[in-house]
Order: sequence, then structure tokens, then C-alpha cells
Amino acid sequence: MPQDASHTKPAFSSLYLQKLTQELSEDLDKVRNADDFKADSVPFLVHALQQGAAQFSPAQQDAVLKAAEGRRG
Amino acid sequence: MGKRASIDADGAAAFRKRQKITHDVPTGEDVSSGEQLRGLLAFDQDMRRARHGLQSFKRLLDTIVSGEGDRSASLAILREYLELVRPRIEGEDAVYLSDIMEMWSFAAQTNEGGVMSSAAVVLALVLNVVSDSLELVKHGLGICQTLVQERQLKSISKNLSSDKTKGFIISPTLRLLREAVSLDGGAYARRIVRAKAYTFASLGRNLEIGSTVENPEDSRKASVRTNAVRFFLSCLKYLHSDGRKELLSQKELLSHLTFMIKSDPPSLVVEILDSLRTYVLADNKISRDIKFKCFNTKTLMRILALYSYSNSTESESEVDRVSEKAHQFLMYVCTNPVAGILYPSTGLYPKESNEEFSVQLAKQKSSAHSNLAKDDSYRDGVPVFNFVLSEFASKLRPWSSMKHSQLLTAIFEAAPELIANYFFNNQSFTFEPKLTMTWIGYASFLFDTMRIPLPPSFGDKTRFALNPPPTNILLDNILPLPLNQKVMVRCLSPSSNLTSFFATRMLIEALEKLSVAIKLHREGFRVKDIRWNEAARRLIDAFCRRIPDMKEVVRSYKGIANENTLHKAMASRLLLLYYEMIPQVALAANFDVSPFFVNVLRSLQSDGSDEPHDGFREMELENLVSIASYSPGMRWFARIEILSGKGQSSPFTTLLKLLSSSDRAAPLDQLKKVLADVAVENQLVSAATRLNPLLQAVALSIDENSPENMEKIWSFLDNCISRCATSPIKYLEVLESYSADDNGDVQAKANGRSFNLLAVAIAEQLPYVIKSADAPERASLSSFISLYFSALYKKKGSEALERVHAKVEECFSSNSVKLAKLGSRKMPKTSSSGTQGGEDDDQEHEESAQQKDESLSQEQLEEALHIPFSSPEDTGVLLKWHAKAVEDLIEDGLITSLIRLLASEHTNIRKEALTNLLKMAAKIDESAYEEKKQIWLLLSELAESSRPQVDSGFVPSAFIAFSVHALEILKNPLHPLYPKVNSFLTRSPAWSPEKLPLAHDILHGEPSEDDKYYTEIAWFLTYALDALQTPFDLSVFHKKRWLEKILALGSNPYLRTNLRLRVLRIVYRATCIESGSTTLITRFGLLTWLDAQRAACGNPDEAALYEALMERAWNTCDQARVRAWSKGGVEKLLAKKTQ
Repeated sequence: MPQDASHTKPAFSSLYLQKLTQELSEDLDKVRNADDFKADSVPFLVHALQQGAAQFSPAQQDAVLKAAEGRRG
Repeated sequence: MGKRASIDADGAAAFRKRQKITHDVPTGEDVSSGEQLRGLLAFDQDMRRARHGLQSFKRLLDTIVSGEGDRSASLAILREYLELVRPRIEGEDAVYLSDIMEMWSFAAQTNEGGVMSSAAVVLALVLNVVSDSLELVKHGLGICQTLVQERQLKSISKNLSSDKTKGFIISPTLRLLREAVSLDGGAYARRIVRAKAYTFASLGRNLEIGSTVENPEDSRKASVRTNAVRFFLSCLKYLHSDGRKELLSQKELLSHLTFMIKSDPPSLVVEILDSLRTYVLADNKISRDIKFKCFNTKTLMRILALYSYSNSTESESEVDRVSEKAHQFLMYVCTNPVAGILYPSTGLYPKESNEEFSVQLAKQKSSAHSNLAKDDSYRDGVPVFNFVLSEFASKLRPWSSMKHSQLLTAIFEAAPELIANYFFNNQSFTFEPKLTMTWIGYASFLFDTMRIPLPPSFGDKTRFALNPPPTNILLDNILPLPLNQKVMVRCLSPSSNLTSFFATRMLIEALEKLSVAIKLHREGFRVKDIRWNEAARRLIDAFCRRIPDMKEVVRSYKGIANENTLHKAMASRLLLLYYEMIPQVALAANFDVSPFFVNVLRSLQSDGSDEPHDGFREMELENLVSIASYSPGMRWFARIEILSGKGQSSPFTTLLKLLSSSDRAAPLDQLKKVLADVAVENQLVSAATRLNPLLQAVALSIDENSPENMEKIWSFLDNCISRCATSPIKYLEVLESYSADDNGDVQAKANGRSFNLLAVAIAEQLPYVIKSADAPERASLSSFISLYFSALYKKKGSEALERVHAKVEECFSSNSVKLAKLGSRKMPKTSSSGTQGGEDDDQEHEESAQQKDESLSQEQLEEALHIPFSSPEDTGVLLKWHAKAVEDLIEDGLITSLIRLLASEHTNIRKEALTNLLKMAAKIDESAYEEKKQIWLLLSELAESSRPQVDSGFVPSAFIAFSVHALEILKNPLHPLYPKVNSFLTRSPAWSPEKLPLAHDILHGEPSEDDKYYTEIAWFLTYALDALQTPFDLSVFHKKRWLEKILALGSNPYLRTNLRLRVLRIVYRATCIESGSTTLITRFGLLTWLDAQRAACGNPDEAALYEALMERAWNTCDQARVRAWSKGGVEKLLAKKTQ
């Protein structure tokens, strides 16, 4: 993958995925029911959703992670 | 093999039966000594006896190989036998194991399959056994030497060419050859390959005799193909580069090798791929053209087919291993220059069709014209160096497989020239939004493609190409072709969160990449090069045409549900990018950000809300605040009820509160910067200290005071801030009265750097608030105010500040509250929240910036202020517009292009344009378009006013500029100027060429809405710039004193920077016109005006701009005349400036 999201922190990446899945849940259900959705589509779908995490700068990632921690604590 | 696959069960049985006939039951006996073995193997024409001997030998060798029984005893018998039959004379002609060789040869001549097979089996086993033993290896080498003698070669060839059903003969022979090639590190490899006429006999065919579907290959019994493949791979392994080259040049060999690869067992596939990679692709000494011939699209496609490899008898992990291996292999082949498939290319500079580097060609062609022509030509296709990869790429299915997508993006990264080429060649696959996996897959692939960084210098190896790459190709790299305006608008539709989120993400990527591309255009020498500047402008224009309009993005943003904070954060980031990168598109949409921004503030402030806010909401707020700082209509200080029941507060104060709240997790640097800019612009605080003292004081007060008392401080602060912002003149006067006692102006000015209006307002408002406050509140106020003054004092104390402090102290003491002495409060270096971070160093930054060389070169001035005279004529529009619908005419800007033709230098084009305008007006009038009457009126009036001018010469630029800009207003009835334009149009049927249409109504009339004055001015200044093109236009501006009025406008101290810049652009434009500078200097006192502006502005960058503009005016004027006019005063002024 180009620029393989190397600066994306794994914690942020998973948080991003979780948030996005939640926000798009309705549409994702429709995709799961589409004809071309197969068992091996799952990794591709996860990649497609997660790839946008790379658009956040390290500082932004830290900010979001910190806020998430704050919420839990 | 295909034939066999269709054989039915009977056929398979028949096949097995036939095999049985050829297999006589082999007999054999146990061997106990070498002498006995020699006896058994003595040459005999009776083939049954011969087989018996060979079979006995095989039994002996099997025990050695398998390690069953007494291995060392068997090995001793073998050693004894080998010594016994060792040829007496050493040399090239010596024959080892002569009895067996003779038997084999005889059998071959008489076509005795059993012995042919057994001889090969035995020899292969002997070589296998001796290769493990250092002392026996010499016998092995002897056997190899014997094998390459002609008689044996014939036997080998005979064996190999046996009927393809006789696998039992072919397979052992191939095993024998493999053992021979590998023996002793490949000692005989070269000679065996040399004798390829025999040793490679029927190899192509043998490579394709695989196991059948009915008879799947088990790992113990390898098929002919497996043996042939292993032999071939061993040859590759043990040969030197030259030998490998020779081997690879064999016609079609690689094609035979890969033909059936999909049905090979996993271990064999992995072996093939590993060997090809290690011994062919990674071998530097094998030339590119040989590799290139071997790995053509066909071969690559066969390996690609392994991605969907399946094998019913193997475990899933083995099967996965094959597809992973194939992926790694293709990644290596397609992206590694050593592998020979990837050609060096010139990035975004396309290959020239005449085989010359376009970079070189670009060096020769210097005119911007040729470049323009070239740009158009790439609409027929993009020539590339990597044509094989281009063909291969088009076969991939990146939308349905992640591995395909990864491979393709890796290819793109290795050869960026293929990006534009790929999308050009594969236009059939559209990006129409659908909630399917295919769409998501394609979107993911496109996103990854967009994330590929632009190559340095756009891929030009010399790094100094004079011409920029073609705009179209660069644009396709930033925004791939499938992402066109129409499709993107559909994706952004609020009906689906998913498509709109993906589209938003892509547009963000595109805009960020565009910003990088523009930066590259301005790097190093390119900054001064007109071609690069032109190209950057063209790129932005083309980009704007391909992306959705701002209003679509706004609509999409509005449609996002409140709880989708991530989506909202991204959408607001996209909006901000529109403002930052393509303000011309963003501002045209008239997006009022304030309601949204209040919404976000509300949700952040409402602590009781169910959903806890996350970092994304704050990101959205920062983006919106930054957008607000770009939009002229933002009311920072108007008080609104942000939270019901909590009283009114201005957005500015609410943000300030947010900034200093200590429970926030992450610093909001962006927010802080924008707030500080707003505060400085409104003169609340000085540019030197910015918001730092205030934030510091607030942060410390929060620690010291209870939340209830803090509320009092906030409302007091909000009150002071609003008063400062709404009536700054009043406080400026008070400020002056404080400073007046100081010694001389210079001192006052220096002090002013730390002293500010907010402090004055606090002092002035204090008596009122103190009356309504109770004792604890008073104490809190005193604590806050002393903190604030101490923070100010610490930055830079002054007498004026002390005087204000004294006044505050007096007020407090009259109400029996103590106020700490100025400077006595300790200010910790870093306070508990908010105030640390990027902004703190501002003062130092500014001071060091002042010490730097501030002068601005003329090139920088040109970059900052020069707007090129209007774009070249597009005469095609004369014909084009007839075919378009009225809506398209208006939305696509065809009217604008047609209007601009009135300024053409050719009389016939002007005449044509006039006629066409009238026709177009009639067509619009007949249509069902909503604003048709106004547009018809505008066009008709333009035509009527221009008619007398068309024959005699140019139509005044003012007419054209007015029509073009008025058209934008007529399209948008919500525009504040809409009523004014309409009343202007209905006032008179023709315009005077000596006047600027509508200028009077804007500059002298009342604004149509109170708070839209600056919006109207902004429109007017853009229009005025456009209306100033020729000496005739200049004379209109001069005679009607518009220049004077524009300069007066520029003297307004509250004018925002971007409006001020527009004024300066008009001045700059005037200096570009013949005798413009002279007129400006002698008639309007331009130089003194600029000097006054320079002295008044606090910003060193801006001052440098004024200085550079003065220099420009002087350089371009009639200096002799100006000197005489000013009696030398101008030179003195300029000399003073340079001191």
C-alpha cells in the first residue's frame, strides 16, 4: 500500500474503525446484504474503512485518543 | 491435458490397464557383495535377466536411501561394486558403469521400456546416494561424464521422447538429469545444458504432462511435469548467469513452465516462484531484454491466476501460502527495476511519441503556447514507457480483490506515469455510487491511488525541467478520472452516509494533494518562472471544474446527523480546505458558517448531554472557527443565547471559555490562533502579546476562584470585549489620553505594544460592575484583574499601563477591595492549562521576524498582487453555445466566455460576439429559466451599450467586467447586491462608456443590508480590478475619480486584510497600464498614500508590501515628470524609506 499509513497509531486506527462502523452501520448492513459481498470481502471492507485513519496527523490522533481515554476515565 | 480431463471413468481404467501391460512384474534378489552385484549386472541381451539385475541393484540402493536395515553394509557393497567396475583408463572417453550403460543403450535401440526405465531409475539413485558421500562423489562425477558421451545422450534423448503415456520412463530420466545437474554444486550443469539437443529433448512437452483430474498427484509419486519442472529449476539454479541467459532464450520454455502452474501442487508452485525470483529476476547479469521477453503479459497473467489458486487435496494454509507467494512475486516483478519489467520512466512527463524524453523537448520548447497545445493532445491517450505494465494493469480487478488493488497501487507508485494512463484506458468502469462491495472496493483502490505521493520534481530526473508537466496528467494524478463532478455530486448526496463519507475523504485527499502540487510549482527557480505560474493557475482552474460545487459540499455537511461526529469532522475539514485552497469556489457559495458553529459550541458546552463528546467534535469546531475567520460576514462579538438559561454570550467569549477550560484533553492550537487573530484584528489586544496574557490570567483565575464567581468574571469580560469591539474609537481615545503624558510619540508607540484596548475597557467598566457585585465576587474580580495586569506588565511594563492600573486600584479601594500591586503576582512559566503551546512564542517570533530583511523583491510583489489580465479568448464558444440548454449556458460560464469576446482585438470577432449575444438573449428570454428576464435585460443592455464601440475599437472593460460579475449576482437572488443590480438594470437601457456601471450605488449609496457593506465592497473591488485593463479604462477611473475613492476606501483602518489586498491589486494593475503610475502619483498622491499606509500598519509583512509597491510605482512612472512635479520630494520620500 502506498504510504502504508505508517504513522497511524494502531490504537487510533481501531478507534477510527469502531467509530466509523458505528456511524455507517445502516449502510454497512446494506452492503453486507449486497450480491457481491462474500466471506472474503470482510478484510477488504475493513481495509477500505480503516484506510482513512491515515488522514489524521499524529497530533490529531493523540488528541482523539486522549479524549477517548478521558471519557473512559 | 485438456483432453484427458474429459475422459470418463472407463477411459481412466483403460489408461491404467495399458500401463499394467508394459509393467512386467520385476524380479530381484538380495545382494550381499559387490562381486555378486557385478555378476548380476553383467551385460546380457536377455532383457528379463537384465531387468532382474537392475532390480536387485535398485533394492540395494533403496535400502541405502531409506535408511532401513543395515545402511552402512549396503553402502560398503555399493562402494565395492563401484571400485570393481571403475574404468581402467581415466579420461574423457572413460565409461563408468559400462554394463548398465550398455544395457540401457541396447534397450533403447530395441525399445525395451522396462530396462530403459530401470536403468534411469538406478542411475538416478546411484547419483543421489553418492552425492552425500565425499569419497564416492568422484564416481558420481565419472557417471556424469559418461552421461554426456554421445551414446548415453542418445539413450537419454530416447527415454525423454518416449510416448507421453510412458511416464515411468520419462520421469526417472528427468530425475537422473536433475541429480546429474545438481551433483557437486553443479559441476556438470553446464555441460548437460550444452547438450540440450538430447537432454532437453521434448522438455516443452514433458513440462505439460501433468497429473490428471481423476488421478490427482500424490506427493510420493511425482508427475512427469513435476520432474521436468524440478530438472529445469535445478538447471537455473546451478548455471552461471551466461548459462541462465542461454537457457531462458530457449523458445517458449517459460511459457511451458507456467502453462499448467495453476494445477500444480502447492510445494511445486512455491518452488517455481522462488526459483524464478532468485535465479532469474534477481540476477543482475541477466539483461533486461531477456527478462522482459520471458515475463510478458501472458506469463504475468498466469501468475496472477494463482491469486485464486485452489487445491482440494491440500490444506487451506498451503493454498493460502500459494496465493500469498504469487502476490509477493508479482509485487517484486512489477515494482523492482532489477526484475526487468519495470522501465525507468519520467513520472508525470509523458513519453514522447518520437522516442524522445519530453523533458528534453520541454527544454527546447519555450513558449507557453506549445505547452497549451500539448496539453490538449493528451486527451487522446497518454504514451508511457511501461507498456507491458500498462497492459497488465488493465487486466487487474482492483475493485473486487484487495490483492489486485494492492498490486496495482504498488505498480502506480513504482511507475507514476501509469496512473493517468490507466484511468484513461479504463474509462468503462464508473464510480456511480452503489452500496455494494464492488463500489467500496473501487473507492478503496482510488483512495489508495490518491495517497501515492507526487514524485519529486514530478518525476523529471534532471530536476530542472523548464516546463511543467501537462495539466491534464497532473490533474489525473491528483483526482483520478473516474471522480468527475457529476459522480462526486451523487456520492455526496445525503441519502447515503457511506458514499458521502467516502467521497468527502477523497476530496480531502485531492485538495491536500493539490496543495502539495502547487507548492512544487513554486519551489526554487520555478517561483519566478511565468510558465510554472501559469501552469499552477491552469491546474487550479481545471481542478475547480472537476470537483463538486461548494454548495454540494455544504448540503452534504448539513445532511449529516449530529451524532456522526467523525463524519462531521471530515466534512468540515473539507469545507475548510475549499476556503484555503480554492477560495474563489468557496466564497461564491455564500456559506454562512455561524449557525453551525453555534450548534457545535452548544453541544460541546452542554455538559449534561447523554453522549460524551469526543475529539472529533472539537476538530469540527476548530475547522468551523477557521472557516469563520475566512468569511467576512462572521459576527464574532454579537451576543447570542448559546445555551438556553445560561444567558447570552458572544461566540468569541464562549470560545475563549472553551479554550481555557481545564477538563479539555487536547490543546486546540488552531482555535487559539484564529481567536488571537480576530482579537488582534479588532484591536482588543496588541499584536505583540496576542491573547497570551489574557489566557494566562484566565487559567490562573479558574484555579483560584469558585465556578460561580468565575461566571461573574466571564460575564464582565464578555461585556468588556463586546464594548471594545463595537466602539473601538471611544476606547482608542481613552487609550490616547493615558499615553498622552508620556514623553513623545515614540515612547507611546513602543508602550502600545503591550498595552491594549481591553485593559482600558476593563478599567472603564469596573465601576459599574463593582456596584452590582457582592463581596466574594469583588474579590474574584480583583484577583482576575490583578492577574491580567501582571501578565501584561510582565510582557512589557509601561507608564500608561501603570496609570490604568492606578485607576483600577483607586476604583477597588473606593469599594474597600484590595488589589495586588502591579507585577506582584507571580506568573508561573507554564500554567495549568490552555496557555502553553505554539502560540506562546509568538512575541519572539515576531521580533526576530522584524530583525530579518523585510524588503520584498519585485517578483514577490508580483506574486502577491499581480492578477493576470483576463484569460485568452475562446472563440469556439461562438458556435458551441447554440447546442447548449439555457441552464447549462448560465451555469457553465459560456455566457461569460461570450461576453469576454467583446474585448477581442479582431473587429469581426467582436461583431460576431455582439450578434451572438443578442441571439442568446432572445433564446434565454424564450426559455423557462427562472431569472430569464434579468439576464435577458443584462445581455440586451450590454449589447446596446457596446454596439457603437464594436466597430470603432474596444468595448470598455467596465461593461464586460460589470456584466460578468453582475451575472453571478443575478444567478443568486440571496446575494445582498441583488436589489441594487436589478434597479440599476431597469434604470436605463444603455450605459455610458464614461462611467463605471453600478459603482456609484455601491460606494455612495447605503448598503442594502446593514451588515453587508463589506460584502458589497468585496464584490465591487473584484469587479473594478476586472474593469481596469486598458489606457481607456484608466482614463475613466481617473476622470470620474474612482481611483481616489478606492484609495480612500483603502485608508479605512478597519478594512480586513483581504479587502485591503484587493485595493492594492487595483493599484498594482494600474501601474501595469501605460502612464498608470504617473497618473496615480501626480493626480492621486499615490506615493504619500502608500507611505502613510506603511507607517500606520503594524504588520511588518504588510509594510514591506507597501514599500515594494512604492518602488514599483516609481520604477514604472515617467520619472522626469514626477521629479519636476514634486520638485524632488518623491526622491526624498523614497530615500527616507530605504534608510
